[in-house]
Amino acid sequence: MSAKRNVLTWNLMFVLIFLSLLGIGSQVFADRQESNEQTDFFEMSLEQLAEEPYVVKVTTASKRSEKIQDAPAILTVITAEEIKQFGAKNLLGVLERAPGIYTTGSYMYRQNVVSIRGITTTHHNKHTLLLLNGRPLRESAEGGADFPFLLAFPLEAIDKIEIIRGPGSVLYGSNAYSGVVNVVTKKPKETELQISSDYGSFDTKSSSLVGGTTIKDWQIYGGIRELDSGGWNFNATGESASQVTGDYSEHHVGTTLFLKNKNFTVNLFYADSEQAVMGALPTSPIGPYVYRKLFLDLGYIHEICDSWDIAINGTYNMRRSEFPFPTGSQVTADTDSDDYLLEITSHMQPSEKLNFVVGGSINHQTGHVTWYSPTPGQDPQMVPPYTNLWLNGYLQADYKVSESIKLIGGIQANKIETQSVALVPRVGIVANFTEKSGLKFFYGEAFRAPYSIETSINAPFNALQGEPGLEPEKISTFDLQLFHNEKKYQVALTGFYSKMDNMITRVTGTPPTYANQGKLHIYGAEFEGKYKPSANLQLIGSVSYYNNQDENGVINVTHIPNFMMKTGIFYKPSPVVSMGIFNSFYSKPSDVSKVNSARSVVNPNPKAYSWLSANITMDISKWLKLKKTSVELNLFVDNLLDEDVYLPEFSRRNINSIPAKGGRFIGGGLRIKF
Amino acid sequence: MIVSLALLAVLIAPPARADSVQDREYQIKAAFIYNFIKTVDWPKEIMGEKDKPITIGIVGKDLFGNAFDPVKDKLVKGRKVVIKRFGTFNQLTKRNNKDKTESQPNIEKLRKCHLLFVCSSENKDSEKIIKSVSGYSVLTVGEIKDFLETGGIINFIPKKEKGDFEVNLIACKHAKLKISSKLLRIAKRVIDEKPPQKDKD
Repeated sequence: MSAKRNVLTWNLMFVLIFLSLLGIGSQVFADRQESNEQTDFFEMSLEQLAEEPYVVKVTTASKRSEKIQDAPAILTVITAEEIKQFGAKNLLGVLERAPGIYTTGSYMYRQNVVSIRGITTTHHNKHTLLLLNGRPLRESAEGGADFPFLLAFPLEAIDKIEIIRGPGSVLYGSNAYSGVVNVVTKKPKETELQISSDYGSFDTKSSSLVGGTTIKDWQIYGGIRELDSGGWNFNATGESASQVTGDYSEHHVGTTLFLKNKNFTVNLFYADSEQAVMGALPTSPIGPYVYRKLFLDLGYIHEICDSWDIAINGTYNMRRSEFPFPTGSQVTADTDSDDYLLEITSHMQPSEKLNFVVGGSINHQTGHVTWYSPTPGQDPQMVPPYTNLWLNGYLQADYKVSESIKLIGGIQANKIETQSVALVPRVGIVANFTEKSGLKFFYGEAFRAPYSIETSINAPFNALQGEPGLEPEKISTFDLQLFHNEKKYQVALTGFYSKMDNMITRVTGTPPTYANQGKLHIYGAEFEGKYKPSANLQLIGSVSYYNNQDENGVINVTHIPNFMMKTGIFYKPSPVVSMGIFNSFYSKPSDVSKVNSARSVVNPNPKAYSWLSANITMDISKWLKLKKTSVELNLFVDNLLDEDVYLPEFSRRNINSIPAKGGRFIGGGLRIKF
Repeated sequence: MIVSLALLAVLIAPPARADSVQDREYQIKAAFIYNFIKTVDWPKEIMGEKDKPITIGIVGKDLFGNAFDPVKDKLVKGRKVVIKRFGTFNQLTKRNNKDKTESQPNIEKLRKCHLLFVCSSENKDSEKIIKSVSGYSVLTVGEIKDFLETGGIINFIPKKEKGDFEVNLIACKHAKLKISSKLLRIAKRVIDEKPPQKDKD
């Protein structure tokens, strides 16, 4: 059987299993008495119950708490329950399952990009803004080196992840371009502690410690995680016919901490990450990319009255990183940045129908990129030490015209360094036809600023020159979503059109440089659903289709799969055993020859593939006769089909592809919760 | 083809049936009620023999659905818990009026409950319901405005986004019930008798 037919056969089988469980299983299981979530509430203490909200709410779309169907954004929520049901090795693996998301990377920035709606033009994660508890993790040197957060964050500390598809710059500024991902950590209810330890393929070991408590007015929740992997065998041909072989190892230590005392909050994330990469060019022997990331946010909120509060946040993002240079002769380059953000936000509700959020920020950025050559006398500054100042002011309001119709409007004015003040607006409507159905329609604009690596780089050997006059990239998007929510299922259908302008692209020359040129039209449709016929059976799925076309009429220039289908089934046949199976199907991406017809075919061409995982958990607490302690055994299998995954080399486009993911991973572990 | 099948599958997923609706709010309230019966003490003569179950009665339009199902496997104070659904108070009294030879048997059933939950649909009749069990050791729990002021013992404060509740200790003592201090600490409001003023010498 050909590889293509094999993939289709597997997917057809999976869809048929999905259908049969959905159509038949729902009738069989709809009357089952046992309820996971109900039982969980009955296991809680009075104090814990007192903190449980009747309706799960989101905060990312308006910087205040609201129901998902009222939120002025196309929004998906991944809960802690779903993360546990389906398992994952890291945050990137969790995000991979979300509607409209495709994770990718390059020879240098492995596992670094969270592409939303097929928008990816660089191996830096510049078009999706990452937030921790609503605060931005942004680094000013390259604008999107995010792999420490994506790979090292302790998953057990996550309460939920809110993902916005579409522009978010009105409230969040640069990089909230194609979307926003907000990781919300757990808050302590009572004292709890969880220890986990796993071992798996490629000599992968991981351990984590997560817990929280309340002491008088203090709420404390945090976690630490370490992962060390010998890595899968990387074997590929790079540029200039170089043969690159080695183990794609990785080692990450990540910690997060949340503290709250009355109106003060502290959010902390620190990671020490190292992953093996090909280096600054896809020609090198494999070397380590070392990255230390610190994020620290201090916040204070003051309630002026019931309907008016004001918050002030100071956010510090630090980067210290070192990556290998292509010569293979012990040359490295350091990229360091220190970014300080001071933001004031005020929420006002003058009446029951009207809400305002108004704010502004000052972002002071410093950093440099220095390379250290063994040759004496060489100029070490790739990006000379820089100091940037970004300013912005924003306003977003929503007004309930009636019980069922809400109008939204917002605008951000931003001043990026030497650029003149720019405005990004958004308008929209959220209409609930009934308590269960409605529509959302938005028009919004967003931007992503040029970063120092693009404006100021002076790479050795005339490899690359920055362009100080670069302007921000811009995107404008129309979104229309129809949604319907029942107690046991939720579905939503979204269509969108985006136009990218002023794209920052590399232009050939001596030396090559950057320029604002090019437009891209992106359009697509997304269908997503969750179905929970009983608390011990849940099905989730999404189907998305994206396409893009540049100003020359060339289609699929971002090399992201046009079609993605993601389906998951979670089943808990007894209180002791549970199983989650998730399959993500990606269609074949376009070849890099679309943009560079002179590219060399040196590795297998990327093809369509299915990424199938299975997660089985067994609670052995009762066998061990433990009452207050939970002990679980876990088996996690990733890439069950043992697919060979190659991705288009979309960063330089001189070669057709590079290996992207390892083969089948089998791992097991123990979780103890006190 | 596969896309069409997947879309069709999710779109035609059968809607939730009314008798199996599990509202998160009522799941949480059911868990609260379970905790209430764990932390409230009834007089020994009311508890009766050791194998006598604890009875939770629900009067009104019942939105709990299957929310009390986990209770079926649990013991409280060493006893099983049974749930009895009485319908609305209006229906109860209409049944009474049909057969006047019986001495209000349906109202008697309310008085035999250890805990009686008064649904929000009984807003207008809540005072009558509370009065009908007054003098009996029935823990009345409501989700109605001014429930405590009309003599109810515990009330889920309406229009709240989580299980904020309030307690009327005076009514509790009148019903000869003892509520644990733990429960009182979590309550948002407690109505109690003012302590007698000390004579100033």
